[in-house]
Amino acid sequence: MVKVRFPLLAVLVIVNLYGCRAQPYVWHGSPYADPAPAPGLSLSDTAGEPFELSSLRGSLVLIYFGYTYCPDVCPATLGDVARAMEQLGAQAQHARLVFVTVDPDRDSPPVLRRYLDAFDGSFIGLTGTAGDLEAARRAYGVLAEQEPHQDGEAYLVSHTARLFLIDPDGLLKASYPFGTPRDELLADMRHALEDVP
Amino acid sequence: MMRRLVTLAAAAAILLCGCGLFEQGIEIDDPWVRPALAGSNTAAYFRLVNRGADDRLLGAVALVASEAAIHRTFMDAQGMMQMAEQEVVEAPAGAELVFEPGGLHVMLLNLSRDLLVNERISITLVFEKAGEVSFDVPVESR
Repeated sequence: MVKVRFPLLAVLVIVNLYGCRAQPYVWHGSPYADPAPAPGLSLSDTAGEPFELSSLRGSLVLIYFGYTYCPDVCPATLGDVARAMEQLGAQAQHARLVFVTVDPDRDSPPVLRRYLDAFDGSFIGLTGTAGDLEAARRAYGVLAEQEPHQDGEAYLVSHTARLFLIDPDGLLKASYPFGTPRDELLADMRHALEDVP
Repeated sequence: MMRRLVTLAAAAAILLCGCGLFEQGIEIDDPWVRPALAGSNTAAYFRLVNRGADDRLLGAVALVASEAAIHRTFMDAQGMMQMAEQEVVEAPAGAELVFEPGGLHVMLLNLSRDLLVNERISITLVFEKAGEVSFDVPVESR
């Protein structure tokens, strides 16, 4: 048996080292308790091409459901993400925002592209059939409802306005409510990109 | 002496009129409007302080948009973000109303031109007592 000269000191050192080991990262958003592969989206992009979420494996992906007629919540959120991408610097090449429309009647691919380009040319816009869009919303727990308006073309759409964060391994890790401070979102994005060279 | 007083009074009048941010007791601070493309929608935000008598905000006008309306964004019971048009916003004497993203805002629909950063637009708020209060709003990306 090895004789420890200063047993109490040894115990204290071991306890100290144990306490100093890397603590798990505390997400600013609402983390998913058991991160699972993010649900796919059977939708098409603004070039009319079928979109595969798996094609973004290796990148951090933020998914947002919104519409271009939205004057307040959607521009605010996309603006926040665009600013966060700027702060990422070179790492932004490994980050993508995917905008899924909740208003396919007005958000045609050209309308989506023009709208998204005003924020960041790398933002991906998705649309599809009513059924496929409904399925996408259901997969992410997103609700959307067209509000009645006397002018047929000027309706508003109420919708869940959360941002969903998918890590480079394709796992749905956290979601963020509208109004999440930019620096908190950025911190989580940086953490998710830590292992990406 | 009289000339000096008249000059001072004229200068004060010019300063107050030219300011545009303090009319009929209504003070508007830090206005800004988000950039947007022609044909699309955007929102203007500011801080409003009523330094006059009790009043009510009845609406807004902006020539740069087909329609301007005061809305309040809120989250409903199901967690969806909704916007409710505000026909009237109470502005009691001394009240401070904050128009900010996710809250009260002046919705500008169907812009007649692109709003580019560093440009300015004019917005007019219509009050029951104070009448029309106009002010410049810079286009800013915040």
